[in-house]
Amino acid sequence: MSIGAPPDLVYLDANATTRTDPRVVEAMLPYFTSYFGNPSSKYALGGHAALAVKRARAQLAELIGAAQPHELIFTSGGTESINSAILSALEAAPRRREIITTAVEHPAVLALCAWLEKNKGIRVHVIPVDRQGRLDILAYREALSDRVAIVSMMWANNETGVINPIADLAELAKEVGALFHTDAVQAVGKCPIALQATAIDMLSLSGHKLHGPKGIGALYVRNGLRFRPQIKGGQQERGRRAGTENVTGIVGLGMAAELAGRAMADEDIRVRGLRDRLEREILARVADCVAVGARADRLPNTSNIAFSFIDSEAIVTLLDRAGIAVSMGSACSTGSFEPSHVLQAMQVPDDAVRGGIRFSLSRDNTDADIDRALDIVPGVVAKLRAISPFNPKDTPKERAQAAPGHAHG
Amino acid sequence: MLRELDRIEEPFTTPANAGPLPQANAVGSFGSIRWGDAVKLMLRVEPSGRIAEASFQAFGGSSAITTSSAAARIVTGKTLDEAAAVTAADIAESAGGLPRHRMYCAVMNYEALQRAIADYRGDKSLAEADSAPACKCLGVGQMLIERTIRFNRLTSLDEVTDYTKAASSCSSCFKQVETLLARVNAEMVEDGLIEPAKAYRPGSSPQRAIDLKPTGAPAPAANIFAAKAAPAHLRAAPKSPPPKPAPVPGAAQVDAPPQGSADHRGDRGDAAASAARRRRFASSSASTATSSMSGCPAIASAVSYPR
Repeated sequence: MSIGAPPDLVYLDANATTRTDPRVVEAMLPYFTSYFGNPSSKYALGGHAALAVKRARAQLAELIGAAQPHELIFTSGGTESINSAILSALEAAPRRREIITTAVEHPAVLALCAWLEKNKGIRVHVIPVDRQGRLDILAYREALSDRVAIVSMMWANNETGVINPIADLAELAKEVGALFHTDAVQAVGKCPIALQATAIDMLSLSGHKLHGPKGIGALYVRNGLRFRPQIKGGQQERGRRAGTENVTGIVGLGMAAELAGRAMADEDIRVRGLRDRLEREILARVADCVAVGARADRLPNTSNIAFSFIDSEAIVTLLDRAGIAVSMGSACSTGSFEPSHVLQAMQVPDDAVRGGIRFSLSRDNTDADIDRALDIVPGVVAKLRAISPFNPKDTPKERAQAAPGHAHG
Repeated sequence: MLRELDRIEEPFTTPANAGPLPQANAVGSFGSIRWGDAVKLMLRVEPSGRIAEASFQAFGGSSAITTSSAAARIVTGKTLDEAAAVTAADIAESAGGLPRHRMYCAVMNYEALQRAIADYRGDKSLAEADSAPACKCLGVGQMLIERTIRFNRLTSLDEVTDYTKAASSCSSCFKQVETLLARVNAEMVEDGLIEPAKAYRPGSSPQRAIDLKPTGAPAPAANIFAAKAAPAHLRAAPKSPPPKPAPVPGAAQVDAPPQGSADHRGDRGDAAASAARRRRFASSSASTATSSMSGCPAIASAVSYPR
């Protein structure tokens, strides 16, 4: 970390969250204490805040190539945007009772779909992916019908960085009259987006993934689309999302969007170089590991490496001791002992599926960070491999027999 | 999380007793990659029955490694009989007090220790005594769940999940594990191990809400028996409708209810009227279906937001 709070920390978890850029904080500060008015108020103080919101909306609209700024609705973050988009689509087309999504979506989509399936009787088509994380287009075409209310597919995967051909997928949805929503939380600010030229109806994004503040996000809703507000109340955001605007957050998101637009070239060239070096060197120095989804089109900042015979939680803990912040493939919450659903969907081999580590970089990372990570990662893996009862010499059969208490198959 | 890290500081970074033990004469392992954690305990037992040396190899998170290290540490110097009496709670305590959601680490080491002792004594029954898995996602055996409930006096479903990982991933085996828990608890009450009031009652814990993945299965087909509950005018048409009445000029296309005249009283008139009603419903629903398409310009332009 070139500039940052804990001086000795190498932060390689930009897909979880990023450091709020100091310029973003600077832009936000006046709106806490000086221009603290409510944008709905009629006096000048409120007018200042309303103007700031308007400016931020324009900045964000430019980043994603929206036709008009008012196509953006500010929300509390990616999850709220996604929930609103899907629920609104179902409400607007009550006779269409099917959803299409993918097997590698974020829980914000999958858990909502599971809930809708269970409680509202909505049919959910889950489109599988291949070993490289690429979507099964044939299955998608088969699932499309005039019963489908909304197709929700992520632009880029949060665990592997694999990018979906979103523009083409949206065209296919359009053919049957279904709405198309994309979860672009990981893609916004990392790859160029021009919404005007696509058939995408709705897009969700989040502020804290592009060096903005947490607790702010936005939902793009194409002009003229029937949107049913999911949070009811006042007439903020043209009646589409009630509740007083998070003015400071919105100002921060607008600033972050502008900075991200300027830094995108750097992200694509320099950060991609860092990522490629990190991945290439780890694969060269460590045996029995695989870069997940490396052959597909990927975000420039993400690398997911699955280490065989060891558990990702132990790797993360040891790397943290050494001052490197990375994450397990999934945000494994207590209570669930399943390996990452993304790695499972990509059919990562059994011995590696619990050893997925996600390295995700941002424009804050430097060459020195990568050097430091490369110094430490191989040693940590070797240490844990020495402790592990499994090793590459075992045949899969022997590995199964290591546990007489458990059935396999 | 941070407290967990502080606690495991020493044994985790440098487990002194980690690695293979070539002179081991009692080896027990438990767990698998699919289950998510695994341990192999290796003991060198002297002819006197004292465990002179113990080491472990573990696969899993930091808690699993710490706990395995602790288990190997506390059995060193014990006799086999003393080691056989070590419980999962003892192991958890020696690891510095495991949080409840990591108790499976202690259970795993307890099982491995029992197997190591059985291995030394040449007792094959324990190593093989296990049945079909109750929880298929992670492959947790039914006997293991039963043993763990009994030995650790578990009385709630959350505890069973924390100790064995059963029924944690999806809820497909929830009912099975619940029934098992209720049965074992009932047996424990008979044996006087727990208070009758503490025993688990089936149905007392809500279905888990951690079903994160949609199944993608089609909605169940409509229940044909449910048709009886529907009002008469919504029921499916009978297989062989009565023959249509002869066309009466001026009366055939009227879909208003009969006006109570004596001529209309009877089955045939009703059938004709309801058939007309069905036709009308079908055509109106088709027209609304097409107009509800989102791409329809008429609808799209009709929407306006308050300025």
